[in-house]
Amino acid sequence: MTLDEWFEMFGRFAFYYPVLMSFFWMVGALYYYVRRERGQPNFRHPPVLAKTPPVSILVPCHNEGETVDETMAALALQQYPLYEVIAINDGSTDDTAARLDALLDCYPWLRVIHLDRNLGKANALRVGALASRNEYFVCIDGDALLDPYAVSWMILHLTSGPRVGAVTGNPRIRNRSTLLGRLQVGEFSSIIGMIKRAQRTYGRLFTVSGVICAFRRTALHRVGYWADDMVTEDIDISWRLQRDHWDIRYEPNALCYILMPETLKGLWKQRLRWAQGGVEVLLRHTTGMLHWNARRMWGVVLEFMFSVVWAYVVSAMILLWLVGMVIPLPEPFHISPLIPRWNGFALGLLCLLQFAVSHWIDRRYEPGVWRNFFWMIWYPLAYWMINMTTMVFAFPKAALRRKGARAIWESPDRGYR
Amino acid sequence: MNDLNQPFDALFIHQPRLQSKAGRNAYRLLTLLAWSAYLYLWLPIATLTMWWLSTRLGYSELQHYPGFIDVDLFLLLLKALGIASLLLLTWAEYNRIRFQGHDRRTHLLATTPESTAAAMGVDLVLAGNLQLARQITVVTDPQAVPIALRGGDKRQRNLHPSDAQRSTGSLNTPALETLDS
Repeated sequence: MTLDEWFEMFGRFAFYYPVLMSFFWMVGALYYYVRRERGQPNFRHPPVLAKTPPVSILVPCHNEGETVDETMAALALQQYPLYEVIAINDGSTDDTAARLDALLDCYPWLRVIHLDRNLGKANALRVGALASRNEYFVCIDGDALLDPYAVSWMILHLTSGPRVGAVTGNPRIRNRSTLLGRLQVGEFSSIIGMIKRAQRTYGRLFTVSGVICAFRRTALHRVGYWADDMVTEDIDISWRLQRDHWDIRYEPNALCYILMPETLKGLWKQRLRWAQGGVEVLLRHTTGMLHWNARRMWGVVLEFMFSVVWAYVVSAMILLWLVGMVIPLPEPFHISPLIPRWNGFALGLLCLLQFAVSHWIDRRYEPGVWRNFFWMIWYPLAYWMINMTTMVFAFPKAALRRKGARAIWESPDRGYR
Repeated sequence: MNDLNQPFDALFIHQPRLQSKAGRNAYRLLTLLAWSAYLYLWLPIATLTMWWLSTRLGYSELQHYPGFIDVDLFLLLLKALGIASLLLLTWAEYNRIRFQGHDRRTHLLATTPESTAAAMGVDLVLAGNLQLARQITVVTDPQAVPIALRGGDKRQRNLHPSDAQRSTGSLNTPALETLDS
């Protein structure tokens, strides 16, 4: 192939990859909605459970002093008959420990475990699993507010059959005071929710949402519990469970209200960690995925690989376009226009269509989400641009990270409050 | 069951005034610019629409720009949508028909908490005490394996309904005991 042909191919890939993925997401999400959500009761009316086994809600906490009272108050409202809450204070340096100890007198179902130092979320979850005598765990973040019916919705799946190893819920963004907050509201409902539905239609998920998920102990035991050397233990455990042929379900009715960064620095750090985690998991599991018995994960693996390649291709194109505006570049390095005429219109139309589809599906969980319409322009742009930029930096970071180094907490940006 | 009316802070935090006025205005302006860029993407169809509305102009302009409408692109996109839909929905329906109502996985015995402790390399007695504790500090080794417990609530662990069931022996678990500090 000539250089011109390579550039032509990369240009087509840069355009068609997000277009094709959008098609998959919309079609998959609509199928999921028609098959599993349409006509179903509201999220506040879960079906009556045939079995209500005891559940341990694991809440790893690191410097959650500002939020832990709210989190426990929300857990007190759980509409599930048999549960305990195990809060694991993971080496907090603020008043998390004192607050948790004080809450022991308020909530008889609460147990508090203090770790002697910051060991990271994975180790906190491992100790939580060790401290529990139950088969089922629900894991939430220390600053998350669990909807009163979330546990019921998730246990419904775990008790529906022995193949179900994990369930992921539906995080909703609480803080929406700024552009970055509102951007993520739309991103989570319009894009991430759509992706999860489409992946369930395909049959495999890229990851559970670490902020709200549930597990079967037996499944975790078979895959060795959470790995403490992965910066995103949720992606890693999801891939390991699915490689061991456990089913991971998505339950959009299991709601959880979370705080997300509302500063550029905070958002960048978080998304960089997510991208880095994804690459680490890819690098660790790629060899294992080559076996025929892992074939059902190939779609997930390939999609992620393409997303990494796409990030670098588009970054290179944008860089050449910018340079070309200042310095004359020879063909085919001269990129102009960045988005050709009708391709741009197609992207614009697709963006609108995606928002319409996602809003239509998601409105039952947040009826007023259309109020963010003015900010809607950012959703696909932010998703693709953030993913692209963080991936460019995350790949070398993941590849060069010292193997076996423990992933420990850093206090997150929780937005304006 | 618990009381749903127990209050806590607002679920959704909408406090734009926490951000500076300059910041809010900057982001509004940025969003307006983003909308402008988005509307720019619609220029081709807007141009075409305006030409069509003025039929004679539309006819003469399309004569001048025979390749104006990129029909191939839209045909390709429609084909891509068709193929994506066909592949995904066929796969989904195949799996639904093949696996619905059938569970091919062997039923596994539920893992015991003791197995968890063994898998994590934790002493069984320590694990047992940890499971009974309501408030405790866990000391770990450099590999983050729990090796000792410290402190702890001297009160007997509060009984959750599931624990009440266990203490009568109905779930075959060790009896509860008071934890010594």
